[in-house]
Amino acid sequence: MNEYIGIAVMFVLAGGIAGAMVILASTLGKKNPTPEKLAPFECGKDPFSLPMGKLAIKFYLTAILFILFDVELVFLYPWAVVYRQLGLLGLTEMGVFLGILMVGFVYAWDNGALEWK
Amino acid sequence: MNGATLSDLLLLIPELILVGMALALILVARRIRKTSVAVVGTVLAALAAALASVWALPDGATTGFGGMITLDGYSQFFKVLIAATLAMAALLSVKTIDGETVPRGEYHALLLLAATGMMLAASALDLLMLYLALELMTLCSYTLVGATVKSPLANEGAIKYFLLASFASALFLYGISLTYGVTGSTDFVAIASALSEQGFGANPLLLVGVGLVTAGIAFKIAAVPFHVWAPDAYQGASAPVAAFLAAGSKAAGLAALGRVTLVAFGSQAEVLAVFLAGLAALSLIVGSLVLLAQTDMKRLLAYSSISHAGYALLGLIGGTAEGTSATMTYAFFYVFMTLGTFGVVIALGERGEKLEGYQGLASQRPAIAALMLLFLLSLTGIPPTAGFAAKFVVILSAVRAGYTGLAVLAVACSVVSAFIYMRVVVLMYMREPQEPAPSRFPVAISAALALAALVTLIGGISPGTVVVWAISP
Amino acid sequence: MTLTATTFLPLAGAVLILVVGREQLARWIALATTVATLAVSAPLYVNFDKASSALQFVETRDWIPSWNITYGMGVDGISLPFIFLSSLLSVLCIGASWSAVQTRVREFYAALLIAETAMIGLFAASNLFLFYIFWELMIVPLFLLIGGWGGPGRVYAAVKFLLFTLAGSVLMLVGMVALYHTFGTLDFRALAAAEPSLEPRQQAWLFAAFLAAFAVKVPMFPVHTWLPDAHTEAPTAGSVILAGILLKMGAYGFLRVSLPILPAAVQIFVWPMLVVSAVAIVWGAYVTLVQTDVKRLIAFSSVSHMGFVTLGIFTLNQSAVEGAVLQMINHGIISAALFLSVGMIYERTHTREIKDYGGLAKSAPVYCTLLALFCLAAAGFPGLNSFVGEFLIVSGAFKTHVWLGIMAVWGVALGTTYVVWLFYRMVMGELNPGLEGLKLELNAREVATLAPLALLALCLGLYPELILSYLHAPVAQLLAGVTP
Repeated sequence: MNEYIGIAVMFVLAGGIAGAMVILASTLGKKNPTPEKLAPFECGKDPFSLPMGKLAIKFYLTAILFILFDVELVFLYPWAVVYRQLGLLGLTEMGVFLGILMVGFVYAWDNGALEWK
Repeated sequence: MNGATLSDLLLLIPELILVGMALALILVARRIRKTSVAVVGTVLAALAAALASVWALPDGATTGFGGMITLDGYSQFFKVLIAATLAMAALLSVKTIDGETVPRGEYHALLLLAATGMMLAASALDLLMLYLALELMTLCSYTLVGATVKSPLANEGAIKYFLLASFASALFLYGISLTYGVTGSTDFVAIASALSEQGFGANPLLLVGVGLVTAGIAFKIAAVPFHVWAPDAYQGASAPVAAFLAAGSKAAGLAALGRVTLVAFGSQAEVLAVFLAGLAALSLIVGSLVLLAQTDMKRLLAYSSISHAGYALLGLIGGTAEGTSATMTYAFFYVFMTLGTFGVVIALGERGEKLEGYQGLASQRPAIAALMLLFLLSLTGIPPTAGFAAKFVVILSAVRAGYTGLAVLAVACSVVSAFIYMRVVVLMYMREPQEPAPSRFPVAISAALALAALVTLIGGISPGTVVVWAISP
Repeated sequence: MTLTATTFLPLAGAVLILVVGREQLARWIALATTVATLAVSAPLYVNFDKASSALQFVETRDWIPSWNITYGMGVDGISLPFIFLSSLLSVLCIGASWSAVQTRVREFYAALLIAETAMIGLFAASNLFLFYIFWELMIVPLFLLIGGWGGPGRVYAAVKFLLFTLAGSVLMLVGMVALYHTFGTLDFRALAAAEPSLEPRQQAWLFAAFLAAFAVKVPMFPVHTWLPDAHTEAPTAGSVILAGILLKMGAYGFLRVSLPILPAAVQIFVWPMLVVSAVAIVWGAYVTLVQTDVKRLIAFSSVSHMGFVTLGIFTLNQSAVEGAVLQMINHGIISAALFLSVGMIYERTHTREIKDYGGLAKSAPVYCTLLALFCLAAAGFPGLNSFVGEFLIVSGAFKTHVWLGIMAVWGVALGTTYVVWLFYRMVMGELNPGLEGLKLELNAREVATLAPLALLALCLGLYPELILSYLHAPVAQLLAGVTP
């Protein structure tokens, strides 16, 4: 327990100082907002589009496919470790699992999800 | 887990059939030119799954996968029911799935996968397995509700359903983890033995855990106060999807709840009874009262399904095997009468989706009006329909459990809801038609309607044929 | 098999009508079915043993073994006259509607036939489950009949009828379920035999549950408000069935369910029931006096007459109860006849207001003769059927308490007044100018429809033992169980 006292004190101090700065500034400081002051800063020019621009939906699709097959890989690791104990059942089940995901892969491939245009 | 062998896969044959057909449909999705191919595939898979669940194994309960899955009389009953729901939902979709707005292969694959989740939920003997099954069902349902992408109502319904269902799943998982924490296991049998030793006095967190688990499942059956998603989701979804949700999701939820309350938490029946009675009473009152104000048929049927969830819950209050059989019987008859009512809504197309569309239907299409009359009588609970037999048996369970006041409330609510069900009858039989006669509808829809009408009539005249199969876990 | 055949033959006829296409054929099929039902039921009356109070022509079959519910039919002396009345009135309804109903003819006759099945089934049922099923089954065809083929206010009347009767029946459902939960059986005789094990408090609650259903049907005083609308707006056949049979089902329920199975509760509730009945008699008669619509007048008079019936039943003495059952049959005949007559004249004049009538005597002598007969019968004229029933009930009322008897007699006096006044306004005097040029006389079919009722009114008035002989044994057995 004693080892953590230092970290706890550090946490309280840091949080306290940062919090105090924010709270004191927002309560005691003078407030005089004007439309110009509240506009986003864009090197002196008026902003004419969203900072990021339009995001291609393809990124979302690629990310989703990545997550799916990455999680599939994650399942493969522990299976590989206990493969011997699981025997034939383990092989069959993992085969079914991979098969189902292969069907999904073929579907994605067929329907142009892997195209990048 | 220990002892999982290859032969355990035999327990899952019905689900494997459905998954296999779903995968096949996904693979050939772009090559399907006619909707009927997908529909035939789905119906065949449903039939095969139903047969497999009845004949795959010899009599007697068999458990597999380390005690997570079972195939006893209870799960066989629900598997057959869910297979029937799937087949009828596929038959009813022929008009809506014209390939332009909703892709054919994917739609039926989603139906099949949702049905797989429902069947698994009926077999689950472990809380995590139950979670998996219900999530499979719900994930596919989100997509199905939003399948008609062009409709803003569908998008709204799908988003609302998704957000609320995710929240409910989170609560469910939290409940599972609390239960695991106190009892040391997620397996129903192990929880039951731990509960019968300690009871709720050992740790108040257990009460919270049990309550959250029940609440999570209550969300799936749209019991009040976890019903908020239902009207928007049903109204936004296309009518066949709403039918599938109303029938299948409720059947699966009731199957899960039946097993959870009777097997896992059975020793604490008195405490659970209060909770379930509260859910039932609220569902009955809110469902029947708000029903009165509806003019959109799908929303009307959503509130009707909420009130029917209340009736079905009456059977589970007693915590006895007969009560659970009563709920099973109610679920069975409810599925068919709801699918029938939705079937009429679908058959009439756009005209069928609003209440005024039913004006003068009896003089234009007497057969369809008569079918709608039959289903509405069944929903109200007037003999000799299946709805009356179902109501009789759940009211009996409520009285047996000692909750006679609740029974009186239930029948009073049926009179309240009779007002709006009979308003449809009034519109059909006692008013002049305002719109031209509806066009002919495909044979598939007629087949589904015929099956629903047959079960509703036979259930009313001879309910014994179904009741015999309703075996408690 | 006779009872099952009698009950379900009309249903078969209804299915046949719905399947066969043509309208004119539908009328003939309906007529043939109802006459056949009468014929099939003939052995019931011929072979009935009047000396025995046991159920006869019993049929039992296993129906739902897992719930211990059997399909049981059987009649005793109380139910048998009602089966006859139901079958007869159905035939007459078909005859009366022959030309009156022109739209959706097939559905009309199918609904009538299904209603007949429900009526006969209710009186023939020997267990409470079947009784309940036919009770609720009755609601639907009548709802459709009133709402589909009735007068201008028909939808309101139909929905009101439905909601009132449904509210009562579902409370009866809870009562029935409670009985089933306690005893495990729903057979009437078994329940009557087992009743001593019910405490008076439980019996009181059950009585209240069943009272809800029966009081709405009879109808007893505060919950009678559905009746005027329903009877007035219904088509002729609907009014005949409503007034002739439906109201009797409520009182029959008291005799079949409440008295044998809940005798302690009957003793608790007897005075409130007597008072409510007496109030219904007098109040109903006063309200009838001020009516301006013919059908509404006859409808309110039914409230008053059924008050006599419930008064007779709850005096719990042999002759009064027999009088009550006899009066049920009589009222069935008379109000059916009155509604039929009104329906026939309405077909011609299309008005129900009394002020539009007057002076029918010269233009329609046969009609007025028959109407006079039925009006006198309604008033309780000696020599016609009502007299005997009312006499027995009034004497029973006097035996129970003087004031009950006084109110009953006052009700009889008022009854005479409103009926004679109605007759005077409709038949006497000069022909109402609005009726000039109409062919008001009855045709042969209509005379044939009214004749059996006139004949029955005369026969029962001169020889009431015709019905009473059936009632001695069962009423004695019934009262033996009730009176402490």
